[in-house]
Amino acid sequence: MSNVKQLTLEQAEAGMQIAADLKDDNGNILLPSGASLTDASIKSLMRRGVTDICIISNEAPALDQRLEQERVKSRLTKLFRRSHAGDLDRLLMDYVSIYRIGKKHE
Amino acid sequence: MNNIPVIDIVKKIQELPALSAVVTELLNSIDHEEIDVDSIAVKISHDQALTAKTLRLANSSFYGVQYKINSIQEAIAILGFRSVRTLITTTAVTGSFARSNVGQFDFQSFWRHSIATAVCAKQLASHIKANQDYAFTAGLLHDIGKLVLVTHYTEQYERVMQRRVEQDSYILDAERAILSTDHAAVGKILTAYWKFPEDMQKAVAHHHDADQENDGMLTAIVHIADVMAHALDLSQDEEALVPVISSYAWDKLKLTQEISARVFKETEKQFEEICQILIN
Repeated sequence: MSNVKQLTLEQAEAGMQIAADLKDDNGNILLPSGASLTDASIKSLMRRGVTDICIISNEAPALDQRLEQERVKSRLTKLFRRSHAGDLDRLLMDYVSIYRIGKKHE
Repeated sequence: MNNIPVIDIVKKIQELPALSAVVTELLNSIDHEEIDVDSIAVKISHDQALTAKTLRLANSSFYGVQYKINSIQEAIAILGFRSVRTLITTTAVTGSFARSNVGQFDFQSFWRHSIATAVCAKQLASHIKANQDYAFTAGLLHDIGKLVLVTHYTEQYERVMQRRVEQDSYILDAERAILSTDHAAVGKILTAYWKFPEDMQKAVAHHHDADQENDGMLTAIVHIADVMAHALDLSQDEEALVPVISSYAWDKLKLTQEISARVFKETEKQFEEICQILIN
């Protein structure tokens, strides 16, 4: 699952992938969508006054998504606190979890 | 211990405002398809308060009718008799109890859960091709016994709510411990007094123990709808507890992950809108 994440240029690291064409004020493309950042290109962007950058994040889901997953998980644990031992309640808990956040309850 | 004898409950229920004859007739008609719609429409029209609220519901966005419905006859022609019957019985029954909060009992949350169960029951009925309006009404009323208890045994019920929080227990268990009866048993008495169809009485009576062979499909639907409504967390009750699922009811409804997901989605889609109509 890939997400687009906005970072300040200071947070950017070599190896990250650009999510959208990066243009200067005149509309010239500095780096095309999909290009990988290098230490050199990050320095070059800084010199040109670029402050923010959109990158494709393949690893962890975005922070708010992770928070939502945590919220759903802890609420389900609370709602099922008396019934989770039952096989069917356990199954229903998974169904609701998959419905809400796309994966089984851990 | 402060046991409430059944005879006492029956007496209290008789003090409740009776449902009008036409509402009773409508409820009884759920079992029969060959009824005189025209004569029922005329009878409903005689009850002005009921007619007014029913038309407000019929004209709400839930039904999405483009122009204004001005009479019960028009409502039946446009929405269909079954929908209007559900509207009227819903209006009549929800209107027969007070709305203000009593102690720790939160009416808003009570009706939110009842409506969530009703909407979910309707979706489950649609999945197994059972009568959807019947399921909606039974779902809406499954906890009605709580309203009798909190309205007529206010002090004792406050202790029930207290115990429930202190022991983090199911309301049903707290009721049994404090009152020696529970809302399912009281709901059975009330729905029998209101002459609801037999299946509906059973669904209300057994929504917490839906394991009995002689119970019908409606009991299974209401039991699972109650469980799902809690699991979807729609009542806004912080202390809510999902009941233990009856495997008998679960198997009867042939639920899969795919079907459950569809039921969840449709339930949530309709829920807030119906809440607006019925409790605001």
